Amino acid sequence: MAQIFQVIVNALSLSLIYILFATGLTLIMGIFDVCNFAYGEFVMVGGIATYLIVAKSGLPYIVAPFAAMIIVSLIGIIFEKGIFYPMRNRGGLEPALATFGSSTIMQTAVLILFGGMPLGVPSIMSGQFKIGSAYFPMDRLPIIIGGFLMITLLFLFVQKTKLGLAIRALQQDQDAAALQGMNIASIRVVVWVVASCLAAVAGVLLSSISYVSPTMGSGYLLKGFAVVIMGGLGSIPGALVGGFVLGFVDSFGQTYLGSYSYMFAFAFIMLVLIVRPQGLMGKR
Amino acid sequence: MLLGVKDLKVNYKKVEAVKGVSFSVDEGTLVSIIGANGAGKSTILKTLSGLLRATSGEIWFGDKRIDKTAVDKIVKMGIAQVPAGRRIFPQLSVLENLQAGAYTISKRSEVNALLAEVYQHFPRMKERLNQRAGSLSGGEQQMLAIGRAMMTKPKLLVMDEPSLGLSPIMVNEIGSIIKTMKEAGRTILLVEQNAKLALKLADHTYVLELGKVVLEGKSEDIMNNPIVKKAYLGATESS
Repeated sequence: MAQIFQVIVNALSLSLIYILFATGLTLIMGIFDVCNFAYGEFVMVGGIATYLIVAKSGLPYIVAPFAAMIIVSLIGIIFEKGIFYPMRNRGGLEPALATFGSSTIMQTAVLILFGGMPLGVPSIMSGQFKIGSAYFPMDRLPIIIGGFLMITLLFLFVQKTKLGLAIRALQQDQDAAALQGMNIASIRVVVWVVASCLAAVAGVLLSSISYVSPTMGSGYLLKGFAVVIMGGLGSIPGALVGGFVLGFVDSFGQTYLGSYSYMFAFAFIMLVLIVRPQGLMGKR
Repeated sequence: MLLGVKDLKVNYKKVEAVKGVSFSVDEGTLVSIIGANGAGKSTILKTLSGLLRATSGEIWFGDKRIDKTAVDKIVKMGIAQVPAGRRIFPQLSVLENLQAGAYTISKRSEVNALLAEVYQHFPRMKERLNQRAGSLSGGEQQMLAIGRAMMTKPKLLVMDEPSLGLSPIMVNEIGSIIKTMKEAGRTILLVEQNAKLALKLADHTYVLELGKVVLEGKSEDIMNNPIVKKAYLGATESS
């Protein structure tokens, strides 16, 4: 019983990281029809920012997410203005390859600047909280709170604001959106900022429970794509459900199947796609 | 003159689709452009809205030249378009589609007034505000597309083939809606393949063939032109 509780807490925090990552990824893929292979590096930059602010400068933890969101958003805008917008009429392959190259450049730049050794960042909270016979690891609490907070903010933004409506309109029909007087170029920038903030917070939260390194984001990219495809391409609710599914399958697999968990998680996704090729929440 | 188009030439997919077209729309009138598939009608409208650029010629809206103006600015100036094939946002609700139309309008009271106006023209929309737009019938989607364009508070309403793909009953219904809007004093540019419908509604009509205006005049004169009768209105007898 105590162990299951522990696994559920781990699964929940892992799911939330996957969800933060995958919602940003699915937003970009849904609107621009391009895979962003450098999205893992957006998370990594969030981690580096946390390292610089918390471990190097000794500033309070609460500064890290805001600084990371600003820095990663600037990188996102550079991607939009340097790759995605200029290449918008050239299909999906060319900009995707450009993001692939950017991913390598970003990893290498961080490797040169900070070296290859994993960088440690102190936990936001530590210790354990006893609930009955089970223990709640306090370092997971910020992830659960931060993750839910970001997802709630994202949901409110997309569903309840005018800009959110514009983003959803743009996703469905770009020309029709333009004919309503929406400035497509500036809404695209907003999409990048939103996706970048999600990745930045994922990086901040992740670095509080694991090491920061140049390749810390790349492992999440594959899983992020898996969540996006399982949930339905471009669907934010899909990324939400997909993230929970993968997080739980992954955590329970790791506990009870050990190193086979990776295979188990992807076999499960294959099964989902055989039954529902459009994804859990996809519309076809 | 609200809209003036002078010697417009446009390339579409590297072919000159519009080869020097001129026409104008006066305030409070309904002008139609009729022509077969591929005559260049949609290309003209895409250029008008700024989605395509002219290779030469001029477009004037009031006293402003707009052939180099951005799409969103043109909408803000007062040209709304009901695109061919309706192009509503299928995953958004009916209300959200209408709100998307009011994107450039920031005052809430103004948006509500526009919504009330749309409901007046389309009472059926009001019953379905929370329904997903993609689940509406073809005719209802067309009404929504017109309503969405009305939400931009246009000075000129441009309609690209509103009868396309609709049942004859629906075509009549859309026709009478357009007539009501005209009678309410709106300025409308109607582009149609359905010449019968367009000629019945419009004050002035231009006939477009292979990117050129081949005939223009009062709709009743055009209607009685023997060539138009034969080619567009399906008259068979030679009388």
